[in-house]
Amino acid sequence: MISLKSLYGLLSAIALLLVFASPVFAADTGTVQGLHEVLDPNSRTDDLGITVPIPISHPGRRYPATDDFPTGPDLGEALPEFSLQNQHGEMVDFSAHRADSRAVVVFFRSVVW
Amino acid sequence: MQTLSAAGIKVYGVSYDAVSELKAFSDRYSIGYDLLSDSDSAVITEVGILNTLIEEDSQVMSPAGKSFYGLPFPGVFVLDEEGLVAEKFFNRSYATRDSAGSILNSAMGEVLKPESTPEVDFANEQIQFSAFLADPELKLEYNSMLYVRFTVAEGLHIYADPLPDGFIATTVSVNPVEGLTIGEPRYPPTEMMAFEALDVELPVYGGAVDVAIPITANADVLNWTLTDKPDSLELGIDVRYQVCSDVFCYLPKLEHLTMTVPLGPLVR
Repeated sequence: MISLKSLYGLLSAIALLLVFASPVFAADTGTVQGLHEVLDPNSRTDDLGITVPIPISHPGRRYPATDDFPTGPDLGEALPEFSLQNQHGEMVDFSAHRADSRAVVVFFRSVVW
Repeated sequence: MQTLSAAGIKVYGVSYDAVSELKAFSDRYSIGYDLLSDSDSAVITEVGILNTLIEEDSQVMSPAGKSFYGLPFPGVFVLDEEGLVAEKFFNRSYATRDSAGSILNSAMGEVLKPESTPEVDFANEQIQFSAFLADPELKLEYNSMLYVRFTVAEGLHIYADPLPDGFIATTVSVNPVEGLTIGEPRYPPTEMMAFEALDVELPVYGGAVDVAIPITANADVLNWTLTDKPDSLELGIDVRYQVCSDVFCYLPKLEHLTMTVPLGPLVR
């Protein structure tokens, strides 16, 4: 039988967790609105005025309708630890490789199309 | 790139491409930094930037035979010596990027004035200012920056708002130009200076000061559908200021500078 007091404590703890949530949960990725939901999805001209042969509903052309979308860790926070192979097939442990240097990390779409 | 490596700043690219695809690209363009293969987008997802607007079961493939699912919302992180995010550059459209000059200045922690970029200057005995672009040219939807750098002679200063009547704050404004998105000028922090003769404290800029104005070439002029694209655009920059010492002021001035900004070619 859970007491009201401990239930209140549990609910407060959960509420605090939601209020001071980590950035991974700060933007609900399920609610990002796509430009194709706001403009005519068959349009070939986006809201930047860029016209290309594929429509804005095409998966390769999907982008958020507003600036409200997840962008990862905030200022003052760190990227997660990760190890990935580089173009030469060498395994790179990012934080070990970066060591004490400043770094520029570019998350880009693709080198091939 | 040489500037970054000379400064000991490491560069990494991360994408969902396979090692072989990154190798071919790296060889073709002589890439000297690491291109990291996040082929299952696990890191992209863990960082929190997976493009969730693309359906996981989308049957549409790219010409290279790849699913679009797994693409990130693209962006750049600038990390400090402790690996913490010092600045980040994300734009809602993948077609909008931040220029090399913008990212370089962020990583270097200072506004560099490269020799290859457009520049116009003004100087007299009290003050000199230089308007320069962060990049040698403006490309479609590459966010760049126009700087106006003031250097005031020793013992003299220029003001910032808020000021009492009769005092002129330093302002920079750029006339609207079709084909350019020009943002609001960003003024640096000021110091409060006491003027005993006037019994007042006023916000001043002294020494070297940079005013930054965001500038981006847009599709009004750099447009695939237009046949006669110009090679450059003219920027008209108005600089209003008043130079004073502790005890007297020169006349307020308005200088007009004109800068020719080259436009980069459209590339797919």
